[in-house]
Amino acid sequence: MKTRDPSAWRCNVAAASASLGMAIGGIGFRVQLPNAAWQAALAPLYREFPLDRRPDWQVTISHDPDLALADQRWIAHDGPITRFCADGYTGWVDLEQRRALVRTASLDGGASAVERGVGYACMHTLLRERQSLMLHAAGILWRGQGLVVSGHSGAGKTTMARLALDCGEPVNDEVVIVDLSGPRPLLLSTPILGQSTPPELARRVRRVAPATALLLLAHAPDFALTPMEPSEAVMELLRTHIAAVERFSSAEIWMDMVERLIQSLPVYRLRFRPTPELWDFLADALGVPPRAAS
Amino acid sequence: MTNSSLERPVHAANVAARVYGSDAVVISPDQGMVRMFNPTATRIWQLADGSRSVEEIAVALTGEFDVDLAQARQSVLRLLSELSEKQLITWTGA
Repeated sequence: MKTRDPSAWRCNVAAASASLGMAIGGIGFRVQLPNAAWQAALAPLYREFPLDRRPDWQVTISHDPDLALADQRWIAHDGPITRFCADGYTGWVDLEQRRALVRTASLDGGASAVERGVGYACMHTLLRERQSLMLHAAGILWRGQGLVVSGHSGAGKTTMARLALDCGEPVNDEVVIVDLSGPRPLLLSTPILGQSTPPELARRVRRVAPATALLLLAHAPDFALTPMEPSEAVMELLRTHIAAVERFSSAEIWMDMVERLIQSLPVYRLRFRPTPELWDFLADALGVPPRAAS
Repeated sequence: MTNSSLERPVHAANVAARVYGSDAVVISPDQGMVRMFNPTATRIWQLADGSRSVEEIAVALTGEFDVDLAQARQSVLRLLSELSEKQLITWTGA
């Protein structure tokens, strides 16, 4: 005698298959998607970040074609739950239950919706459990250097990452992780892209390398690299990381982590103009050994 | 604000702060505000830990900075008044 409805079984199989897994900075995510079409479109984007552990978080992406959120932008905290609305997405993140939901109007915004939910969860979990900082920064691997390149919107992160295409490897122009759990800081790439990441930098590649410097950018007519006072560096980072300190408990941990960051990594103000001579200047200023003759 | 000689300033419970080098960075998540203090304000902030009165903080400053007690007292009162208005410190021990 059958005890279950076969059609219900097929439904369950279909529902279970519409998901993807990923791991970022050692945090595992199971992301439920609206249907198999979404999975087919999105899962390949994250193939370099496979879920190699039990998921720590469950993130649900909800498709709402009637969602109309133009120009709305807000965030609100209620205990462990954060609700948000920005750039056409809305949803919530529950830091205690480790669940998140992001609503988006179309599959076109699917990757961004995934990365919005995963990114916020990752930022807080990395702080609390991995002694790592998620930074609004570009990551550039160049001549043995792992450069963490931060600055406010428009400061030049994407410009510098684009300039690195010819002589190094930009691993991301928007979000990277600095792992501070070991004796030396590590730069970890993420698959999280920005709203304005240009196509040539829209690569979701997994890289891990020693972090060697934190550069805080400013456009200028000439090149200059100057060490920054720790407090100035922290204030500069806070300009773009205010979301990390909106909760008192997170603010405490964030400040501890940033203190560790600036103790273990040289921090510079880099004034630059967007020309390839940047790299010769940086090689001299940072004392990077010359390239081996090819 | 209060300035009873018996009262002692203490950091508000919902404020996160760290001293980097000689400057303090103070975050008030409830108000969504971030501030950086100069070295003198940072020292007063450090001394305002709930164990000292305004007078005791002023006396401590005269031993660390080139300032007389009257000037130190005035500076401490002015800064603590501002911090109290911004809800970054409270008063204890009245």
